[in-house]
Amino acid sequence: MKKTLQRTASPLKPTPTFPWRVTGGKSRFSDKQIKEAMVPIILELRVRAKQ
Amino acid sequence: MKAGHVFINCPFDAEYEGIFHALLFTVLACGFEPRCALEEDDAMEVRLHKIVRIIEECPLGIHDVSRTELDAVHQLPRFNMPFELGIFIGAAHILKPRSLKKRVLVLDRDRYRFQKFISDIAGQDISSHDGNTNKAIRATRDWLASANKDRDTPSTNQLIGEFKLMIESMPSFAKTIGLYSHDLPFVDLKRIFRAWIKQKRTLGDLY
Repeated sequence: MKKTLQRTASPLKPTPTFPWRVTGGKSRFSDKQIKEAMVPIILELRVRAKQ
Repeated sequence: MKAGHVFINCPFDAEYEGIFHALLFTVLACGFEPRCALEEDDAMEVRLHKIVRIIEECPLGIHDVSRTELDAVHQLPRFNMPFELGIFIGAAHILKPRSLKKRVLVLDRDRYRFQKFISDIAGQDISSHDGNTNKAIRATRDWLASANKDRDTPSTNQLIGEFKLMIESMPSFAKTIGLYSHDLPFVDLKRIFRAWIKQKRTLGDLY
């Protein structure tokens, strides 16, 4: 007897969580603010890259 | 049309946020310009007019039709994504000159599921992501690479690694900039991702 494959819609798998909710609207941050907040992250990346 | 602009048509809710962030990251990291209905606008502009304007300006469109479930409250499906896909495909066939050809990538959970609910789109580029960010990155990266062979497109493994690294650093970034658990406008998210990618690529030889 020929087997048929039953496919059901699977729910979306867990995905990373983000510390914000993306919305529409106008910008709230300047380039300077973004650049300054990026500094510690880049420093950490540098440290990790050298390890 | 604006060369390299990519219209992203997908759900914007919490359940889908992982895939949305992955699509946005991949488009930026491959050197393209992501556009979507959340971008800043003139407050007087009608939402549909805004979407049509963005579609008109974008030669490339990524359309996710995976959200077919019924709304828990109203027991109705969302039609916005298939509707905007229809506008995009319509524009691709009607807008002149045809030399400015539009290209479409359709994403769903399963490769052939669309045949059950929107079979008219057969013949488009259709890929599945199975609700998985890595698969969404791969499908988007491969499609962008084929859409513009002149660009030097990063490998899938590089993009997946960078996305993971970036996501890990985002809570710390959000805390520093004073954004934890707050609304973030799409225009700012795009600038943050672009800034991270630029900085990371300057460290490229250290990785």
